Formats: sequence, C-alpha cells, structure tokens
Amino acid sequence: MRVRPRSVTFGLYAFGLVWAIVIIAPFLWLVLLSIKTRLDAFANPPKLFFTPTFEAYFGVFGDSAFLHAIKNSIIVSVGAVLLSLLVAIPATYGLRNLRGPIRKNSLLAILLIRMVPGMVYLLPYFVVYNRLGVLDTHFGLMLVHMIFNVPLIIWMLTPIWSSIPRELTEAAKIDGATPWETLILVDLPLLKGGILASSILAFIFSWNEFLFALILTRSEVVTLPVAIVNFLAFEGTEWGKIAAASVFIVGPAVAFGFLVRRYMISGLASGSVKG
Amino acid sequence: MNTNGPTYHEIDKGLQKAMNRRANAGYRRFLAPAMIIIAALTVVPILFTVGLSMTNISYVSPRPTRFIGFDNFIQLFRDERFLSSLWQSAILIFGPVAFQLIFGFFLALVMNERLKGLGWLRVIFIVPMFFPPIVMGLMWKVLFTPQLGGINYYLSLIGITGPTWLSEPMTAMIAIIIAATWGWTPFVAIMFFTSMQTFPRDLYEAARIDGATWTQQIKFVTLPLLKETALVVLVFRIMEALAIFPIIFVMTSGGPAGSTETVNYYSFVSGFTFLKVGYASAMILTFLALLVMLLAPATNLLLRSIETEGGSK
Repeated sequence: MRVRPRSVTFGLYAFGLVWAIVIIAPFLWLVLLSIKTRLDAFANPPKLFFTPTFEAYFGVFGDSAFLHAIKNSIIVSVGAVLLSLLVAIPATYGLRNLRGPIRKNSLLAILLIRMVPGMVYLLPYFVVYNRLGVLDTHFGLMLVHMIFNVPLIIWMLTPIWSSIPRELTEAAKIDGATPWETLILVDLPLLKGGILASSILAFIFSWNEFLFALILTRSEVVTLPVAIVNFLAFEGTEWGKIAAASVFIVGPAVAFGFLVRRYMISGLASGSVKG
Repeated sequence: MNTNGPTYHEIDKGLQKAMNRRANAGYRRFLAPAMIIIAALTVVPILFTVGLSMTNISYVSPRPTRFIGFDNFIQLFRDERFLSSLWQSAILIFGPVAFQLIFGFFLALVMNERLKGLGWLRVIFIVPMFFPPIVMGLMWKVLFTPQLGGINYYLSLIGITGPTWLSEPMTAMIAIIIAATWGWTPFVAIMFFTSMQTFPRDLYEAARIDGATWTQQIKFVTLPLLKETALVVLVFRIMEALAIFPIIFVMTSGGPAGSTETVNYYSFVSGFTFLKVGYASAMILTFLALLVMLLAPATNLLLRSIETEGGSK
C-alpha cells in the first residue's frame, strides 16, 4: 500500500538483522562459555569451535547449595504468584464493576505504587523483618514480591476483563446470583487464559528478582539470582560454572516469556523489572 | 432564567453520582481488602522510611537510636559521594533511556513494516525482556572482560585496541549503558509497535495521495501520533531506569572508585554495608522526591493512558 523506497527497505532489513545479532551473540557467547574448558575459555583468539564439555553443568547440579536455591526459587515464585492472585483477582473484579472516579483513581494509585524504586521498600522491610525474625523465610520474601506482582496482575487483567461482555454478568445478576457467585461461576471461567498468562509473567518477575532476595535472605531461602552471585564471590574464577548456572536461570524465564508474549503488553505497561 | 434552584446540569450530575453509588455498592468490598493489603505492603513501609530517615538508627553505632529531625538530609548535601552519585544517576538514567527510545523506535518500524521473511525477528527482539537482570549483568561482565569476552578481540580485528572496560571510570560507564540499552530497548520497541498498530490507515493513505514520500509519512503522520506513547514510555523508563541495580552490582559494584555508583547503589551501600539505615533512608527518599518532582507534570498523561490501556468501558 505504502510506497517504500528501496534504500529504506534495505536500511530496515539491515537494522533488524544487526539488532538480531546484537541480541543473540552475547547470549550465545555465554552458552559457549558454559561448555568450554577453562583453557578454551581464555584462548586468544577466542575459539568458536572446540570440543564441548558439560563439566560445568555437572558441577552446578552437583552443588547442593545450587539445588537448594532451585527449590527456594520455585517455592518463592509460585507462592508469591498464588498470594498475589488471591489479592489481585477480587480487586480487579471490583474495579471492573465500579463506576466513576474511584476506578480511575485506584488504577492510578496501583500504578504509582509499582513505579516506586525497589530500594525505597528495601530498608523498612529489612528493619522490620530483622526485628520480627522473618528474615530468611519463604513467606517474608513472597510478601515483598506481592508489591510488584499484585499491581502487575491487576493491570494485566483489567483490559482482558473489560473485553468480556457485560451482558453475561448482568444476566447472572438478573437470575439472582450474588457478586461472589458471578465472579466464580461466570467471570473466572472466561478469564482462565488471562489469569494463566498474568500468573506466568508474575512468576517470571519473581524468578528474576534479585535485590530483595539479596538482602532479605541469609542461607536457608537463598534464591537462584543470589546463588549465582555467591558463585562469583566464592569461586571467583569458575566462569564455566557461572555461565552454566546463568543459562539454567534464563531458560525457564525466556521459555515462559514466549508463552505469554501476546498478553504481556498491558502488563509491561505497569513496569518492567524492579530493582 | 437564573433561578435559585439547581440547574439541569447539576441535577444530572447529582443523579449520575447517586447512580454510580448504587451500582458500586456491592463491589466496593471486593476492592477494599486488596487496597488495604497493598497499602499495608507499600504506603506503610514508605511512611516508616520517612520515620527512619529522621533518626540516627544504625546497626554498628553503640549510640541509642534517637530522633534527629532533618540532620540526615542536611548532611546529605555536604556528602561529596552523594552529590557525585546524583550526577552518575543522571547519566545512567538518561543515557540508556535515550538510546532505548531511538533504537526502540527503529525496531518498532522494522516490526511495523512487515518486512518479508523477518517475522521471526519479532520473537528474537523481545528475548531480553525476560532475562533476569543479574544474568544480563554477568553476561556483559564476561563480554567486557579481556580474554574471556570476545569484544576486545573483535575490536582488534578492525584495528581498535580495546580498553580494559570495567576498570576505567569512563569505559565502565559506557559498558553499563550498553548493557542497559540491550536489556530495555525491547520494552520500548514493543510499546511503540503496539501503538503504531492502532494508527488509522487512511491517514497514511491521505498523506500518500497528497504526494508524501515514505519518509514524510513517518515524519508527519507516525511521529506526531507516537508522541503521547513516547511520553508515557519515557516516564516509565525514567522511573525504572535504576532497576539496573543488579547490572551495576555484578559488573562494577559501583566502581572503579565509585565512578558508576548511582544514588540507589550508594543508599544500598550506606544501609547494608555501613549499616547506617537512617542515613540511607534519607538518601533514597531524597532521590524519590527528585524523581517525583521531575515526573509530576506527567501525571495527567498517565491518567489518560489509564483510560485507554486500562479499558474505561
């Protein structure tokens, strides 16, 4: 339809391809590093072809601290998502049905809360957790993750919920259903996809979260992003293991990300990663 | 004409309010518990931080904690390290954000023009959005480490002697800006692309009939339409720019010699290395206040974006 000069088309192709290389090459480098021997890793010029070794992966998965961190990451991420859903779903249901300024103001407040830099929350949580003795507990970390997961889920579900025709819920109301019944029997079944998608995105953010995990855990509840930094601190030169652990952490995050990429636009509008 | 009774408009408004109130009655109790929990998790800690910032609370000092008013804030502005961290924050906020907006725009164009055979790029482009920031940091640390990462080798192929990136102030800053641009350009690109998809086709058609070239269409149709989205994205990116904390943490730890230390990083060090929690609180609150002042004019804009993105139906 639109006439695009050849030079522009060429330029766009070139830019797109160069950017694809910029995205892929650094990660590929990390993947290669994870299957290189120490000697190959520091070879000059860099070796792109070599005999791969999976020793680093055996090292990482033979490390009980790392296995423990995998378990912790799963517990904290899943727990944080479930807690967040428990709060966010009724809230979004309320927002969907409320009229007037209360709706808009609530959405804005939720958005602003999410935009506050994570460091602002870190100090008070540390002081209070320290006093209450909830440092280094799964629940303590899940609670903090709700700060960014609840707004994320509300913001992602709001537009999806708006696309469900009101007639359906009105019909339930006329048939004498209470708001709770309407939510559980009418709205939730229609929202399954959206809820799953927002849960997955919230899971990714919890899985990736570093700052709170760094300060609010000690040893028992250390999650993967912190465990990997511990590799750096205690085994400074074991780049193979660091690379292997990195690849392992990225895997689920990116795989799940692909699943929900269609849904994530509005979710991302409410902010990307806390730090 | 002008009677003492309410005007038609006032009655109408009052009626609308009453109707809203009635319709809302059953649904407030769905929202209220959630808002109370969210407030307990966020507003209360922020108020607590305000309290902390006015005390000398410290986990190393033997002195008892007491109220010291605004002393921490006054001390801040005499603290050279704080002042330079403010300056470095400005560079590390606006530097990457500028690149993200420029590259994000062109990426959005690439996606929007539906170039043949490049559909798969859309999938590749968004990969960094799901990357744990800590892994981004490690990855770029590897790449910028001489011998281990290939960057200096490939630079040497085109005749450039690469610096020891992370151990010099200037190049360490550049390295972090590169990492942050890599990580958050996809977010901008996706936001722009989504916005571009909603632009009415007939506007382009009209421009074409009027004889506008492709470049002119971009300049006079796409860019003006994109302005609002660009502002919203800018607000988000500025507010969240210092989420590069994990990247700084692994790449430079704020070094060399504090040259890549941002305000939130310095606050982190004050609070959790020096254990001066009161001082660290004052610091992060000052930073938050500066951000809010910078972005307050954009609140209306955010409200409008709620109406469209949040679905006001």
